Amino acid sequence: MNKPIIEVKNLRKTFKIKQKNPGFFGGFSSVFKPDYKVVDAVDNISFSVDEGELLAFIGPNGAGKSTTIKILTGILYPTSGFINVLGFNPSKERQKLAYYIGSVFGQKPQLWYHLPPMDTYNLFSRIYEMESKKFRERLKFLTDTFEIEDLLKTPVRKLSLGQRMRCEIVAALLHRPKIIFLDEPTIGLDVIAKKRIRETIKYLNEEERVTIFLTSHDAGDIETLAKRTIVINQGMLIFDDSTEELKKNFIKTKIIELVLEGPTDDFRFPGGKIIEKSKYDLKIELDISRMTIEKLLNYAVENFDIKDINIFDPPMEEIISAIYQKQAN
Amino acid sequence: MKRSFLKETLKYLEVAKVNYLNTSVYTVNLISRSVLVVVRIWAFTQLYQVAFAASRSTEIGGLTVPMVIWILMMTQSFQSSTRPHVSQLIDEEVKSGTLAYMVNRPYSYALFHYFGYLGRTFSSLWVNLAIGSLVSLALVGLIDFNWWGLLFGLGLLIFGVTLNFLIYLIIGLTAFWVEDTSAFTWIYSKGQLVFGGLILPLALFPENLLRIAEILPFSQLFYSAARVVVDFDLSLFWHYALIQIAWLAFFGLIAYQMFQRGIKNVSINGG
Repeated sequence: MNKPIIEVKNLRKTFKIKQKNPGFFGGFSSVFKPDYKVVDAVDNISFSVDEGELLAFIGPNGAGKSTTIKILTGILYPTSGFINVLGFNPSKERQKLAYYIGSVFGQKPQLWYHLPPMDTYNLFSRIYEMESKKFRERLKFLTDTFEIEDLLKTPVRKLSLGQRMRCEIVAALLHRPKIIFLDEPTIGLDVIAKKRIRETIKYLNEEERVTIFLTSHDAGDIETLAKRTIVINQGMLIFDDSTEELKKNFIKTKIIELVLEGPTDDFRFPGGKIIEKSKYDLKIELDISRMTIEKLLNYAVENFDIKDINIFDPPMEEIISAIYQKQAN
Repeated sequence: MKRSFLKETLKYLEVAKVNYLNTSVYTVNLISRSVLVVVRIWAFTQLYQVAFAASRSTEIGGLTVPMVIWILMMTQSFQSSTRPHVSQLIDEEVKSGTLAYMVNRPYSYALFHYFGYLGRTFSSLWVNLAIGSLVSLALVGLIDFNWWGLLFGLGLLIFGVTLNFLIYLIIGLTAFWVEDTSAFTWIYSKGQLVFGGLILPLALFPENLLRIAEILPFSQLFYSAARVVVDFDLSLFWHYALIQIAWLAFFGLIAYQMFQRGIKNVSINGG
């Protein structure tokens, strides 16, 4: 039986945001009589994460997910509540905790932009006080696993986004963290790069038993990787169950894009709704609880010459709004 | 985790090294700063030769024209090497929320910036000094250097750049409470210009003004080191060193207090 390594009880975080009236006098008056708006970024949430879990923590923009991660890693002070990460209180023992956790914030790179990744790795080995031999062994293992051997001496600014993200993940794993926080690790990546990052995340979790706390707007990341999903909206926890359950209940549609050799005029498939149509290209929304993708593809292959097929999940915002709608009802 | 002094030292030396390497990537930038120093030394040489000739003296306040030029070459080189200003970096880190990600690592935020600043400073300092010395040599010739002066001057320089760092750190940390710190940076840089011996060595000041200027922090950044290098005087060294230590303690305490208070106010864009 796995034990929880992250415990959060009744966590709250409020931000005081200074308000300013428009115009010269508005700005002037706010100097003498400042007006503040209090925002509940995280509103009384509780959950726990077991050792070795791969958990997706999702929600729309401004839902409070990044704030929660920042509190768990000790970056932000909570307003109230109990937090325990690997036996540490992050806000009081931030630096001690830092030796045992790794983080990749997709929008906050940690590699030195003008230097090759190797320079950052050397720096990190010193920062995390690693012994030279252990560092070399670990780096060899990670460079082999992530296939970045050829990138070590190339300045980061000359790497592609996907290559850079793999190097970022290696930087976060050098000191063998027990938990890794991944905040939008696939943001801005193409399909192939996304696939590769997902494979490496999966590998980390399955082979190295690293607990992974993942946030993403990409439904594909969650579907492929996470066994459990927590959904947060407006600072409140609105779903905490298996990803299978989430899919069964809320991901009911798929978007299928077909590019045909001939015109799309005669395309009529009863089980799907055409949401976009041009001369050779169409997008069909399919309710997968009623109709299978296989049937649609069979129809398309039998009746048309297909040039290209793409299958998409509905945007995460739609899934969230479906969950939210259900909550409201 | 057990702390080891050796590991802590290696940690910060690596920070200095990475910053040194990162700054050295921009060779053109490094050399362009030296070009600016060279132009200024040339202009100062013309100016002070005319000024000394007009006053019909070869020595003012104990300094000859070559001594003045070597002092100004050093103060200009020291000051130019400390760019970009730490306050700018910290200001950006506070506003963008990057600071919060940095304090989440197992190192001291202030020491991380201090050693980074030393790494960046050293990368351009030796270039500035090498080019500046050659130009000064060509313009006014060699002066009578003393090895003790160089050694003790180096000590004052280390204190001086540390003092400069602390002041910029404080200015940067004000970003926790004010929206724009550039006004403070501007005032500080003007203080340096007037009282820091960057265009006029303090020894040329009238006696009363000299006494005041010497106890201000501006003169203790770079001028004190340059002054001791060109004309070594042990009592002058101790005079400057004590003023520097007092300012270091004062600004160190303020920076510590500000950081402790500011870090609790950290908020990050996005959430």
